[in-house]
Amino acid sequence: MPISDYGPRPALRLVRGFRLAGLLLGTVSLLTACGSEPTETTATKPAKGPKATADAPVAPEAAPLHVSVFLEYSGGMKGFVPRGGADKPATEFQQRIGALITETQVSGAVAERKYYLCENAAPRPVKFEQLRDVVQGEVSQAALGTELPQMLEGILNRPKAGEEVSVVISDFIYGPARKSDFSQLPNLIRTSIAPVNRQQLAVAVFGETSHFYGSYFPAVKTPVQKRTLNGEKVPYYVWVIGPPAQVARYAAEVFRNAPAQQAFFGLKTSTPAFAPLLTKLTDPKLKSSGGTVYADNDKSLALNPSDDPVDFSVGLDLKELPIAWQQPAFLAQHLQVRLPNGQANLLPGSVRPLTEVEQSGQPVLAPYTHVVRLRVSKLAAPTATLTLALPAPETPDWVAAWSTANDNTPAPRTFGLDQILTGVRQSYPTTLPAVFTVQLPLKNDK
Amino acid sequence: MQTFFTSLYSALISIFQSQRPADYGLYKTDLFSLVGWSTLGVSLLLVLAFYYVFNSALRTGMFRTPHWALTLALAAGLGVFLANSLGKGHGAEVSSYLGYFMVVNMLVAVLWFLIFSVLLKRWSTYARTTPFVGPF
Repeated sequence: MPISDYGPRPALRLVRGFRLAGLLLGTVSLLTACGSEPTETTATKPAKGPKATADAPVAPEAAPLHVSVFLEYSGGMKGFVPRGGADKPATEFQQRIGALITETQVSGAVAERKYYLCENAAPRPVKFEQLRDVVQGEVSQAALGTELPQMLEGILNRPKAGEEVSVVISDFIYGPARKSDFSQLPNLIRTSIAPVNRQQLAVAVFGETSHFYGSYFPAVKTPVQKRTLNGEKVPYYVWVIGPPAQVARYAAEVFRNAPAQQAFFGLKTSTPAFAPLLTKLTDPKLKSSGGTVYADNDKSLALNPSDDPVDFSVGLDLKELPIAWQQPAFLAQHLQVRLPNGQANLLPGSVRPLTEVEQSGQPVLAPYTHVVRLRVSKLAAPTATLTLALPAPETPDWVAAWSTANDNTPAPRTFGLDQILTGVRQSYPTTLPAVFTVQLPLKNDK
Repeated sequence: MQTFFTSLYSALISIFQSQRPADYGLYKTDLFSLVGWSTLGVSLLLVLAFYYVFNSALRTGMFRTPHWALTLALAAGLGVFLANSLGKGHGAEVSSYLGYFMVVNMLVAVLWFLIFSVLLKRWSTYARTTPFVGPF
């Protein structure tokens, strides 16, 4: 029979087929059993390549601010708040401060707001409407005023002053009763703001000149004790004092239309969201180039700069920085890149803010406000940590230009402003702490 | 096994391209082992189908070398398809690296198919000498 030549009878053949199938099934299940372990490890690993960049450490939403606003209301301040009318434009002071207290009153970033008038050493709590009346010139009588150090001391010695944001609005003209006090101006300021030194609070100083209508009391009393000004411009200042991150938040989110003259002391933000941007990018200018660079599963960045330097973009969320510090020119000048056991730098001209279109169009960019391009040209060790920091800038140049030793003739300068701010500066270590520092672990991909 | 697949694929791809892409982390953690296992499985299934389904359980007469070569080509094609679809399905960006990964996976699929053929053909009823006699 031809069939038997080929093999067993059909029934037997079927049985044999089943046997074979069983054998094969066994082999397959054995193979899958071997495979199941590594597959599971893969599944449980939290940091997958592209997700490592997407799951950026998003900073937790900061707690709302507690703000106290202090307006010095002495005879010398009255000129900033003339009683206007439809025919008289508001002074810069009235516009700026009116907007500031309104923003403080309505902003969602502020949980609790209190308002005070500084007429003598102890600030007097007032309602928002009363303060607004003062700013728009509706209140006519003003107090004699208090000396600058006493005023600051009274503000900062309140209980909980070190935990909340204090906003001080004043002309910061120092007119002591005793002439000898002039010689100790920086030290007097430093003593009066002692909590700043002890608790390392931050001080933000905003300066602006405003039209002034009324009696102007200079610090230098000769040749005249006081002058009556009719619209000349003299400076006033807004100081924001409080815990560093809160001052930064107040400056960025509440005092948004701040004047151009700004100085910050001891300002620190909470660690901003930061991550290398490698995948899911549509903009070719953001893509990495030049060599191997990829996010490894342990959240470090593997790269190999041995042949070509490696360029890649990183995203930063800098919305907590003061508006002036968010400018690309400022950041490009001040941002510092450090890489021990290697060489890294910021590519010139690469700092830029992300537009809203980019943020909404590319989910990977959404958590960030700025992108910066870094170049790693050498990496000698198997692992290293790249540090990107914004060192605190020293006292800016406008302070010297706005200072004068004789303010008897009104000018857009303030008596001893440089000395006052020296007193503030001395409350901090010789090297100011960095505003923020972010770190990125690197791995050499041989 | 993941380490094995990672070193196998990255070594073979580095013949074509030494520079690793920005989403290499995805290849390393997910794709190499996933595509590696699937390709291994697909090659094995095709070998089993060829030797034990079509040439043992059934008697189709498709035991000649051209039939075997066609199945091999199918394995190669599935290798390319798996690398492409699984890669893109897991979010790999379209890049030259993905292309070379597809090429390499085609070779790997062919390799598995050859190995399994040699290992398993002797128990086939009608195709134990396809594509060649021996070695067992």
